[in-house]
Amino acid sequence: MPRSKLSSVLIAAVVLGLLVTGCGPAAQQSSTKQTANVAYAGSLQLVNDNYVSPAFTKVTGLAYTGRGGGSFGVANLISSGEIQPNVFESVGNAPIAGLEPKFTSWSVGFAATPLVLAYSPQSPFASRLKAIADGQKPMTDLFSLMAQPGFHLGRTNPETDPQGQAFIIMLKLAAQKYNLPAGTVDKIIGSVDNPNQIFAETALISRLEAGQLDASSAFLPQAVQRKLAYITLPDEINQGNPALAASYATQSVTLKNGKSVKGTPLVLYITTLGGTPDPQAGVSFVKYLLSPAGLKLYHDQGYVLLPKAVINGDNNAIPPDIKSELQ
Amino acid sequence: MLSIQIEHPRRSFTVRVRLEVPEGRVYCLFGPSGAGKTTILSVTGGFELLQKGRIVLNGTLLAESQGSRRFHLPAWRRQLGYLAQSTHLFPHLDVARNIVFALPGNSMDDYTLGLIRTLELRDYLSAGANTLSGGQKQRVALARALAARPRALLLDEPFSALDQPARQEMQELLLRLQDEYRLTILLVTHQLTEAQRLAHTIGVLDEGEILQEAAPADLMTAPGSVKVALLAGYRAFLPAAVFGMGEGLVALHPDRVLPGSFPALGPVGRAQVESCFPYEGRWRLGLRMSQGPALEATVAHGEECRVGEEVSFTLLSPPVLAG
Amino acid sequence: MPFHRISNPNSSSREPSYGHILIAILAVCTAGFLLLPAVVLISRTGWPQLAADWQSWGAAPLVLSVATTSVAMVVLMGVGTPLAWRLSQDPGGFFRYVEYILVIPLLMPPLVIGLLLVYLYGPYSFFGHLLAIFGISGSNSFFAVVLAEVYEAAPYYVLAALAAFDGVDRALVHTSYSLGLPPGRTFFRVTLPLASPGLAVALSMAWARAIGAFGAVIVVAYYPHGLPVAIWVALQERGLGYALPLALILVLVSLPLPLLTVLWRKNHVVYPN
Repeated sequence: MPRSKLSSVLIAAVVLGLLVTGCGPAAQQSSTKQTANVAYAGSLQLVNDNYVSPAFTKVTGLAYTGRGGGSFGVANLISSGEIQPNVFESVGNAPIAGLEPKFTSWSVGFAATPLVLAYSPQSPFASRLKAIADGQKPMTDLFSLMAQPGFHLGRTNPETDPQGQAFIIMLKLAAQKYNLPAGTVDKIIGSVDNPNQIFAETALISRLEAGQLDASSAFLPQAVQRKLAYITLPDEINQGNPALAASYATQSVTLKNGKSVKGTPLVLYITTLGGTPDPQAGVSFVKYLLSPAGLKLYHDQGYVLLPKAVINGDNNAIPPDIKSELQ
Repeated sequence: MLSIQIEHPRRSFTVRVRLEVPEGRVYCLFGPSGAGKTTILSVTGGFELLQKGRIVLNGTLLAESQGSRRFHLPAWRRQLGYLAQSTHLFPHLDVARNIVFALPGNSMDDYTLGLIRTLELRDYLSAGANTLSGGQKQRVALARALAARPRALLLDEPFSALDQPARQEMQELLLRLQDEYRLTILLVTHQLTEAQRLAHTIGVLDEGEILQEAAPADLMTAPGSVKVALLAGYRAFLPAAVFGMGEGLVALHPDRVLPGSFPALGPVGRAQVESCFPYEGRWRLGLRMSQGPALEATVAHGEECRVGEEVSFTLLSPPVLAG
Repeated sequence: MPFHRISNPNSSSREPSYGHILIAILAVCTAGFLLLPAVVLISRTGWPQLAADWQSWGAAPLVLSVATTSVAMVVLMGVGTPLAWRLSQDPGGFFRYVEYILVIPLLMPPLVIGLLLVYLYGPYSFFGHLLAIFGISGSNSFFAVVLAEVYEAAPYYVLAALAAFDGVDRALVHTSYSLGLPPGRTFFRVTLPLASPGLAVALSMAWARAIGAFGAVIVVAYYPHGLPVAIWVALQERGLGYALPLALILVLVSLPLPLLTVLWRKNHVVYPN
């Protein structure tokens, strides 16, 4: 009879549905027991997801999930409880410092990501940019070039992204170093939050690749990974050398909320976060990353390994597994 | 005058007709369903492209497709009114607005008011199109089509969806309108009674060909072939020799077989009454001749039903057809 | 337990069956499931907070979103309606493929749409140069926001409008022709009025899609901040507590048009006399 058949089909469907959804969270539970849940600055996505993750899983047998975003934005998500990663990797220490002491009390800086200026070979200015990149023209030419009207420069939002802040500081350091004419920096960037130059992090490099920007700020590893043409910037301005930290700090950028951010070395800092599920997997991830095998992966992707790891915060709070890698 | 010459291939046959509707007259295309009647109207109306042929209305060329000459006047310039079996009243307009749809400025002129009066629609002017009965809807459709002052009307079985009383009423109305306004009408129907009532000329259409053109009376008394006779309601065909009428077949129509012997009216025969059944207002007798053939006769009274009896019957001027 | 027979013999059930009960439960659960985020949104947004945010920095993105979406709707109605109508008219050859191709933006992630728009409308692109002549920028401008919204919402509008035109009985169009009205006048007096309820639905769907457009908009136009981008930036700059009020504003602004459409249809107003 059709009616009872319909009922049994419906009952079966509901039961099946419950089983599936019931199994979901349960499965989830079992998998988080063994997962390194890494939150990182957006520019680290390629190296973490494509290189470190498979190697890490192969060596330790633990699972990995990662998510990226602007470093400060990700820190915000962590502090509000929206996401619960057990590892946080950021550019610069400030985002991590914002999470202390609730989530962590230490961080390890292990590699530098100096700024470069990536440019588009299809740009009308390409030949001149290439000449500067090859050293045939002096670096000062770069800044007068960027100050020209009609030069389409791209950068990220300084309110939410360390790269955005670092770029402005880089220009200020350059103005200082090269004695650039007064007002050059303003001519180049317009304003701190110039709508014509600021693009979403995900879109910025894509725009450059599409040939719709003349040049864009980028981290050296980004340029290497995405095979962009770029101009290497000297250590004094690229904020990639921890030894020059004091000189970097002489310049700063003022944000919308009045906060002033000083120049710091663009170093990758990593830490494990407390109060998160499965902390041990997080520790294992950081341990692997700081091991010679992990560091090599970063090196191959263009990151500049620090000769000696920089330790911030409470040395004694560092888990012993990780500490052993720092010797 | 509407002059139609069409050659139009369809799925299993080709429609091949040539007909003329004189001005102010009603021509009825009569035939079974699927004979191609709708195709003819559709092409004439301009809703389908004329493949081969020529259509002229009152001297204006509507469509031509012969050799290298190709011409197609769009449907909206042909001034041909069109009514279909299912009424297509505009659902978003009330009756009045439907009727004046084609008029400039949507204003009602005296002519249209006259139509509304004749079609008895005065009380329905503000009704919504969906609130009307089938007959009322067709009256509105008719008023709407006529208000546009078409030069001819194409009617595609417009009353077959109505019940018998409504259908008869509509037929009377149409006759009245045709008479009053001298309408030129090409009507399509599969109902013989409708064709007989409305047409000046009937064109019998079967499988795309016109088998015979005749006035309604002539069609009944002189069908040209067995096919036409069948469509006209002739039910039995006996060798003419049975009645001493020479060669060929004599066509028998129940309404034209009288019980009784009236040699002055036609050939007489004898048969036994096998059955008797009511047929609308009359009765039909089933007769069987001693030689074997069966036929039917029509009587007015049920009392004349004497099953089992042997009776004489007279054929009223039966047509003799080639065998 | 006796079940009473319902006297209407045409109703599909003469007595409540297990099937019906199960479906009812499933339907309630699904409705609840879909409505929960709205409940969370309303309960977690502080109303004083909302008022304060509105004063300080909620108003500008709202005004921009409403402005860009209104312009996008005008554009869609202007170019999308004729296209939808043409597609509904016995498409042959070229236009048949247009209908298939229209589905592609529907299936593409908005982010991808945005990146492709950068290729087409960035400063060094073909259209970019064209626009520059008029002093318009295809990136980070009002125009760019409208552009991204149009691309994201267009398939919704055109396909829904196409369905609306398809729903108009062709026989009525032919009747209008037979009464002497050429195609242009027939369109405005028959097709359009009969398709309007469907077109209203199409418009409200497009409105909702466009005003909430994010993936393409953030790539093509990070500035000026419409509501969706403002929510994203607020989330990153200040956290969830500051993003939610904006999200509520977005919902409230997106609702009126679709709601009005639903109410209109429920009252069966086919054509106002």
